[in-house]
Parts: sequence; structure tokens; C-alpha cells
Amino acid sequence: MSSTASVTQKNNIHICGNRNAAQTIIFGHGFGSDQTAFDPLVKAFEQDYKIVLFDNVGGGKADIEAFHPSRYSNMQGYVTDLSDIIKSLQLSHIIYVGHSVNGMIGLLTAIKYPDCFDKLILLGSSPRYLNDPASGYTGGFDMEALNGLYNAMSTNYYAWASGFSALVMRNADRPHLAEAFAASLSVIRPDIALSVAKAIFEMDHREDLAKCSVPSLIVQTTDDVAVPLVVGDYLAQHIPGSKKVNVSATGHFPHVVAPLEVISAIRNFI
Amino acid sequence: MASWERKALTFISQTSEWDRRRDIRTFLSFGISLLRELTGAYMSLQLDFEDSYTARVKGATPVYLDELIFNPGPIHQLLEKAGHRPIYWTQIPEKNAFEDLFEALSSAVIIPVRAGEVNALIVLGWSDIQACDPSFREFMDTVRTRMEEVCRQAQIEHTSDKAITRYTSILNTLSEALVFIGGDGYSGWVNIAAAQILQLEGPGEYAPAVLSGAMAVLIQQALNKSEIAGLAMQAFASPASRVENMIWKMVDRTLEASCLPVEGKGKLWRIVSVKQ
Repeated sequence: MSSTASVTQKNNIHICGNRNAAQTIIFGHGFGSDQTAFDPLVKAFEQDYKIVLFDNVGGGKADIEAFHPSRYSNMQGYVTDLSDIIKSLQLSHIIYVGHSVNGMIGLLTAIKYPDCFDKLILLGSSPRYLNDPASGYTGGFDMEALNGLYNAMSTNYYAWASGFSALVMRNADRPHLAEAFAASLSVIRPDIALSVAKAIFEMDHREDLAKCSVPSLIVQTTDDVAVPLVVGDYLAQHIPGSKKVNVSATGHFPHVVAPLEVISAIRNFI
Repeated sequence: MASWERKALTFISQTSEWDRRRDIRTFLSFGISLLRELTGAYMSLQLDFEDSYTARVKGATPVYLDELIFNPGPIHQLLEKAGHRPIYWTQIPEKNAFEDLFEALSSAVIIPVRAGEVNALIVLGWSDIQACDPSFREFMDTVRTRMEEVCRQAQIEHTSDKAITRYTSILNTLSEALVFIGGDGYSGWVNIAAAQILQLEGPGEYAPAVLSGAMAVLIQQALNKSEIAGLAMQAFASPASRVENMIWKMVDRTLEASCLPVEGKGKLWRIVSVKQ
């Protein structure tokens, strides 16, 4: 198998849109989600951009055999995967749209290969989810809350997936959104989900933000249980030259609950 | 003495204590720092092969390289091609297995270290071009040999410690009192039950003289000490002799003692309380 074929299979890569376009939009999904979450955004940009979709190893339809706890014990394993995708597909002039943890993965990759990236768009992203009282940083979670979350994931994963989905999706008037996310979460092997959750919730990339030289847009909703408003402000303050847009929507999935607003924000930025 | 020979001796002397400290991770970190200092490298790091999918950077200078993950496949190919010997790049190839690790650097040395539980690379990089002459390569060979030696020795110590802990725990769990007196005249050991019977401070190593003294005190308290002394003479008749099921009648209890040869290493006394 060629390295491109192996990377394609590993990350369930799909390429669509205008293959002759000068720029490529890569969409990277967040924890528990998959590439289908970007469907409305793909439709909006496919005429003018080459589109690359992938699933994180451990999620979606990525190769389950490729998940190794050691490699993915922190974000660097995913950064290497994204770097492999970019290199194997020989991508340049990338506009990277990363939701949640994939925003940070995109940012870390852009630090490594700034010349490959034109723009970064971070949807509901956070450099650190844990509060850090010593530095006055609010991430939204304390260790007690995280231990409770891990415990719930370990003891009854499917019940946890259902409750967690409703909590982070908000928009109770559109229950199918939370149900869809719960379904997506439920197909992840529980031990992998727990391992990935720990890697995400305990990461700290605050010091990396200043190293980013790629123009960045931070998209934040008004009420995100995973990423409080102050985290969006923190990103905007610490990523050099970044811009921030608040979309009038609630929950952790701006691209799912308010795709038109997100499309508009991305269009204005790129 | 040539400069690299002197530096090799410095490396050996500075790492002289490490094979007894047992902490391989700290040693590697120390060894790499020392190596960076001796060679004037700008970049130094340890690349651990954690599994067949994960090669992780540790102990890096500059620190921002720490925790980077590389795909081990291309690196293994490179090492195989080099026969798992150190690789000297006086000029770093534009395309290499380490992707952009050497960006803005001119020369690099990659030293495989595989010993005990360690399967890693030590990677050094310089901004200016390094000659990598024969004396420099000899120095690197010496360093590599020394690092593998320390790792191997530390691994042996670690494995021995684990085995000792395991067997000591097992022997201390037995209700039988066990007293080992080494045939070399220097070593002796008792388990918890024996320490209690012999009124020693606790289980563990004792000089044979201390153990013999404690056993003599115990036997002196026996009601049938003359009988015991006679049987004990048989036990010490030769290294291979054995005496089993001696009865030691104490004031408050009766003990059954056996003295067994231990494969030419000494004698093992086994003492148990019995109902009369």
C-alpha cells in the first residue's frame, strides 16, 4: 500500500469540491464527532475550494486498528497525523477549519508548517479545559469535575454519551442534533473515548498560541459548556493578529446549530 | 591526549556512578545533557520508540521539541540501512526520516541505544558543519557503549530488585521460620517468623555469626538442649548433611527444626511450632 493510500485509509480521507482550486479547505472534527458534521459547510464552499475531510484516529470511520494509546496520549500524535495528510496529499494554501480539539491540532500543525497554511478557523476551540487558579486562567473545568466525567464514562458509557450530548449540544428545541451527536459518540469504543477524553481535557497549549503566525479566526457561541466565553477571549488575546466572531447560537457546535452564521463568518474572513 | 579521547574519559568518569543508581530515565537525560555540553551541539534529544506507531521526543533542547511524535517506520528503515550503527550527517539530507526536526541545522548525529528496556535514539544537531572525523566517531562509539552498558546494568539491578522483592514477600508470608546461613561465612538471612523466634530486630540480612548466636541462645533455653546439641553436630558434619524433624522442647511450646543443605550455598533452618 502506498503511503498516500495508507494515510487515506487510516484517517478515512475524502476529497471533494473544486479540485483545481488554488486553495484547500481542510475540515477537522472535534471529539466524538466525525467529518459528516461539516456537511452544510462543505456544500457552501465546494464550488470554489478543494475540500479535504478526514476522521481523527479513534473516531468516525478512521481505522480503529491505528489507535494506539501511547501515540494519542496527547495532541502530538494527531498533529503528526495531520502533517502526514498534508504531506501525502501535497496540500498547500490551506484554510483549516478545526472544531474543538481539532482547532488546536490545526494550530499546532500550522506552527510546524506555517508555509502550508493560509488561514486558520477555530470553532469552539480551547488551549486548556482545566482551570488554572495559579495563573487565574478559566478553562471551564476543575479536576473534580473531570474525574466525575471520567468516572461516568467508565461506568456507563452509553448513558454518559446520551447525557453529555444534550449538555454540549444545547438547543433542546432541536433534539435530533443531540441525538445525532450521541449516536456518533456511541460508536466510539468506550476505552478509546476515555483515553481521548483524558488527552483532550488535560492538555495545555496556552504557551503555543503565541507561536502561531497564520491569520486566525476564532468562532465562539454565546453559551458553550465546554468552552466558556473567556476562553474565546483568551485565544483572541494570545494568538497574534487573530480575530474573534461571536455567533448568536448556543452549544459547543456552532457549525451544526448555526451553519449559515458560521459560513458567513468564514467567507468574510477568507 | 587528543581532545575527543579526553572527552570520552570525561563522559565515562561522569557516568561512573549511574549503573548503580538504577534510574535509567534520569541517566539518559543526564547523559544527553553531558553529551551536548561535550560536543557543543545546539540540539539534543532522546527519541523513544514507545511502540511500532509512536516515536516520542523526550529530554529535548530546545524544550519545545519535547513530546513531538514521529512515525517510527521511516526511522527504522534508516537505522536498518545503517546497520543500527551511529549515523553521521556532516550535511543533513534535505529529505530525511525526521521530517523538519533538523530545520536550520547543518550537521547531525543519530546514535541508537538499545539495551535493557531502552529502545531509543540520541539525536544531536549543530548549526555549523561538523567534521565527524575518526576521533569524533570513536568518541561517539565510546559514549554509545557506555550508555548501553549503564542501561543494561541498571536493567539487571532493577530486575534483581524485583525478583528479590518478590521472593522476600513470598518467604515472609510463610508461617514457618526460615533461617539461611551462607556457606561463604558472610551471608545470612531470616524471614519474619524466624526474626520473631530468634528475637531479632526484623527480617532480612544478618551476619552468620549473629544468627548462630541467636540460635544458640534459643537452644540454651530448650529443656532438651543436650539432645539438640548432639543432633546439631550431625547437621554440621558436612555441607551436604541434613537433619530433619528435631524436637526442641521449650518451656512454653515445642518446636520442630530441620536443617537442610541449599545446593552448596549454605544451610537452611526451618523451624515450626508443633502441638505435643
